Amino acid sequence: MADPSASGSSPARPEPPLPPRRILVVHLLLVAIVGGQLWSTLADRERWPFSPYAMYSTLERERTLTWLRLYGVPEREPASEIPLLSDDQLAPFDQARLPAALGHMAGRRGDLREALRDCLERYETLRRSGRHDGPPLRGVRLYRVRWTLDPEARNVDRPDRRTLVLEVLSSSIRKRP
Amino acid sequence: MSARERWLRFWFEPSSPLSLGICRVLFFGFLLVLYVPRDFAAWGRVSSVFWEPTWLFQVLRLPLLPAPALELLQWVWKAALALSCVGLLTRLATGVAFILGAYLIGLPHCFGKIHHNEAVVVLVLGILALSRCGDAVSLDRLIRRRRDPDSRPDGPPRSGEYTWPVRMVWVVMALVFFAAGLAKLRHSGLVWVTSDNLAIMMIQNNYAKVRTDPLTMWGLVLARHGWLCRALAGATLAVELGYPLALVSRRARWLFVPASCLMVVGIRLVLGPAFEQFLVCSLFWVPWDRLVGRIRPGVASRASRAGPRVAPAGGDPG
Repeated sequence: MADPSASGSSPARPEPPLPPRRILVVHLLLVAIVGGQLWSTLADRERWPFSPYAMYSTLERERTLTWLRLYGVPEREPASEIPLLSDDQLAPFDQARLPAALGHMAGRRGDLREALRDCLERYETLRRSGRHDGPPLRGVRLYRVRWTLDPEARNVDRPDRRTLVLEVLSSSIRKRP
Repeated sequence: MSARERWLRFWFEPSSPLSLGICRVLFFGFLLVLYVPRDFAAWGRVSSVFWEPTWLFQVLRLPLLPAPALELLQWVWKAALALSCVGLLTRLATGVAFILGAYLIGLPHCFGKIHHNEAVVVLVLGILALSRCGDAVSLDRLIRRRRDPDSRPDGPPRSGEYTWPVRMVWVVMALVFFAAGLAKLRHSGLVWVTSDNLAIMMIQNNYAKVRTDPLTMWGLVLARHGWLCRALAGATLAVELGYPLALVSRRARWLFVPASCLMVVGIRLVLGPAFEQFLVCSLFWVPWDRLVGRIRPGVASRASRAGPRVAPAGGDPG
């Protein structure tokens, strides 16, 4: 492994010592990085770019999964709802960030409605610009979806239960100026 | 040797600029590949109802800029990444790459969820911005030699300036992995290892939860073998908690750094999340000057000339 100081053998040139001010700057940087990281870790709180790095740290005991998932309602009836699972359909959101963001609005109905309206508009904008080839939508529905885990994940497309959280249809959206 | 001397030797032992220069090229080259296709301006078109600024954005009162402004910023930033990679106007370019990078890389994390793979990039950008990483393997160096034909052909002398940035990245990596291990112990205890926790996670991630799907279905296969999952969980915890030992022991370095890279690759294969940023930061552990010395002895000896041969890095007691 690296040893930036371990190469070379010819004692040809003197090594200029680092000025004390420069050494101080390096130590201040070290204090900032270590201090920031310790602060975030001990408080167990995100202080981006410092973090307790708690991903995957909580215990999973149940062989079930409950997740928020957005479904599109196609314009052409009687087409069934389609899950919006491609990042291209909802860019720049991804499939981990969007459910988390929507989950934070659980107690704020108005904000959640605005967020779903934004998702619908963005889906259509991206579709019209050719970013994805999904069907035109007339609305989106947010469901809380629950699966009983199958060891081979054969029921990925067939959750046990879907509970509607909120629906936004384009007909109900007032056109913005 | 006193503790103070050992401390100063760890950080400021004179070394050649070659390793740091190569790390700079690889790090910024990787950032170019990763971020050039990414459109940060799209966040400027997202409804403000999603806006949940992170600590840094709150403290510095950084606003969500409109899409055209983000468009401009991201082009300047990507140009700065390219200049930093080739080492042209390196001091300015790395400074711009850090300041704009902290904003642009941090922006998506202000929209509902913090992914844990990118903060390390910002910290390393900051370290390189304060370093003299452009003194070797750079266009700046070539230009200096052209302008001043009398300058030393073997480059700048060995200096602690080329040691501390590499060591600082090591410390960042150690803090990150140790924190991840500590969080598991804090939130779950050893049950994180001894239960079916990891097996359940492997199955769950084949349903949803992750921004990138697992590259393989191996997680489902592994999840059928509880003992194997518990062994992997134990190894994960050991690598994360033991990683700081790599700072002080060369033997530990050979174990924990490659093991952490394997772990990152394994996570991508069976769980999904991509932590490729950790892989590229691990390149700072590679002794590039010695590696180059084996391939092209002349280059390495020129780059590392001057200064006595010193003991292994980090005051290795082993």
